[in-house]
Amino acid sequence: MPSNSLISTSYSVNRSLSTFIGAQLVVFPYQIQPGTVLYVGLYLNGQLGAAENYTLKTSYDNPAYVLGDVKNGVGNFSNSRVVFTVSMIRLKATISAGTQITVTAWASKPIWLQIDKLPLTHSYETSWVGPTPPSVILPTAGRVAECTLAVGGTGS
Amino acid sequence: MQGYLRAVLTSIGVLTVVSATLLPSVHAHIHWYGNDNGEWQEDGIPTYVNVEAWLNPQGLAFNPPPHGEISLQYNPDKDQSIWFQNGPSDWFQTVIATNSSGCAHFNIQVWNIISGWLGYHTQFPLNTCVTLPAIMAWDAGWYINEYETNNVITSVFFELWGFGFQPYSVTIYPPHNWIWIRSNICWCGSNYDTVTFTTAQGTLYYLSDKNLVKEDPPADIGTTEDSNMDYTCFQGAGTMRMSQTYNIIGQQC
Repeated sequence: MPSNSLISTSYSVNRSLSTFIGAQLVVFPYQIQPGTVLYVGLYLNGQLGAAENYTLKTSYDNPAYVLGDVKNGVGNFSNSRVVFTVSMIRLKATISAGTQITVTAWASKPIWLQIDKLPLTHSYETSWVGPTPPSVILPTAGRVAECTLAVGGTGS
Repeated sequence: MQGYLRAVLTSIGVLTVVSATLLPSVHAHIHWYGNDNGEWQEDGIPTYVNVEAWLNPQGLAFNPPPHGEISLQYNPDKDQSIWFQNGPSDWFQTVIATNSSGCAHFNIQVWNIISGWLGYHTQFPLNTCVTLPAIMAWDAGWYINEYETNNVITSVFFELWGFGFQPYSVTIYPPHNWIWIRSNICWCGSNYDTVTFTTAQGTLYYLSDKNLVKEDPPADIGTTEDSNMDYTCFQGAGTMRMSQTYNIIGQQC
């Protein structure tokens, strides 16, 4: 993903959650530039619920490498991933089924993120100087991104 | 690694806490066995504490338990977690689980000991697994490394390797809430299962940047899952590299 862009991806919660909700983005530890910062935001029906910021390391235990060629900004990588999470734990109120969850990613320098090859939705991209995510977001604001980010979610 | 049935224990959670330091655990019939392995402590505040399970001179085979999986669990001491973990009473657990085909996934789970609720869980890959059959074979390695800053666990590195495939690894950054507490390792079942290994022998290595202190098996078992695995005594206590072997032939500490 490019730097200084806010990429949002939304899904609906399929059952009510009373304890925690978490989301994750998957980054390939490949060509990470020094000082790269990643902000991950978690929104419930467009309202910011939690945010995390991470300073990425330039070297991880098992760096990834590209298998084959990179085409149109998409490549295949070796078996190494870094998972960044954002979560709301010890929920004070139940999140009802049907709540729209939006996960945003913003990076200060370009990074390689895992994409969803069989997406059920789109990711949306807007220009955002960052770094902190906005407090309110319209999930479909911006242009449709060329690829949908692989966003994982867990909850209980 | 506890299943959702843990919620059933909610109503007796307080009683469990009160009795924990007074009564022997009903789970622990034999020390250095199954889920009752010896623990290790840090002599200082570490920046990483890892465990590496080598399969040698044979691999792993087991009778599939009801849920079909086994796990390598890196478990903090339950009683220490009740008193000292953030939350409080959160029980932070890192796990590699796989079925008999070598279809594996990496997990961080946080259970609240008092309420019995699953307070946090993340898994990679989510809702699926990655098939690496060689992780059950001789000379395969299973690796979990917990990184800390000021004793708070900041990231966890998981890796599996063996003959014929690239090492498969993932680093997971959990929320920055939980501290490292003296721990033990369990070759166990998954989702409440007790697993019966039919073949299992190897070595567990423990490494850190602080000296490691050996401790007795816990007075109170943290994890519900169990197995027929035997563990020998720790070697190298007092250094930054400790080890013990595991087997199913009755050799225990």
